[in-house]
Amino acid sequence: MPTTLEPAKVEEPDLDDAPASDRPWIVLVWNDPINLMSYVTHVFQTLFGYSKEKATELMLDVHHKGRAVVASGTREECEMHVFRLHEHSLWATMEHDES
Amino acid sequence: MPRRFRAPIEAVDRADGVTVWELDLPTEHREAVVHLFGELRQLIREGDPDRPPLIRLFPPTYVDDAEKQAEYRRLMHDDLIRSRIAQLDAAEALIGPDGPDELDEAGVVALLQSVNAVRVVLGTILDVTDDPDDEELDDPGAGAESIRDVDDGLDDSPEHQLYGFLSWLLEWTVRSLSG
Repeated sequence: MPTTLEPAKVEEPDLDDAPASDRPWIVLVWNDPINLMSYVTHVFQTLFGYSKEKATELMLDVHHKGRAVVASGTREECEMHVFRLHEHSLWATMEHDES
Repeated sequence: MPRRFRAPIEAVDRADGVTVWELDLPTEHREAVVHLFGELRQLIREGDPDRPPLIRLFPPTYVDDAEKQAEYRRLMHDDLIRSRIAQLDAAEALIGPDGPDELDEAGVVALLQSVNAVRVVLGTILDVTDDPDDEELDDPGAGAESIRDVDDGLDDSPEHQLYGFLSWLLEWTVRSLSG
């Protein structure tokens, strides 16, 4: 019976092969034909603390490209962001960051 | 002599340094907004959140993951309903005929969210498909074909006029908060 514990081989996680649950999440806002540009910009400033310039840039990305990433973080953080965007009637979703 | 134009809502810095928001809406406009808030409240309580027009207020969070979406809805959907109803109640008390003349910032935010929610639902019902903000961005030469021949908020039906009124009120409310 061994008197000391043999060192166990520790598998170092391969960061490039992290399970999906460990990857960060992103929050997307999608374009819609109803919400006003000024309103969307205001919501981005209020919810995320962005400057007027940054919020306007994101709003224009939504408007012209169809969507924009407005926040990222853990699953819980992003769920709360989406909830607050939904409170403001913006069309928001979240997904794993694939970039 | 034309009547001097006044904004329907305006931020005012009082002498004591506190900012308040003054509402300047005639009674019939206040009553119309209160009526719309009541209709939305009933729709939220009784409507199907997975179908238009309500799905615009309760869109899916996880588009490609049914399991996560079901879990999210189980945890958050009732909170979102409660939040919307609370904002409608607060906004209605403030903009109703017996409401105060001055609002604080939380009141203006409740008004902002509720007016926008009504506008989003009405716009969905009217099948508004053109962004009104595009009018000044689009090529004027193409405008006659691409914008004016479909719902654009300029239709003179009562519902479109109502939509236009909500757009006007919302724009001024955003402006009043932006300083």
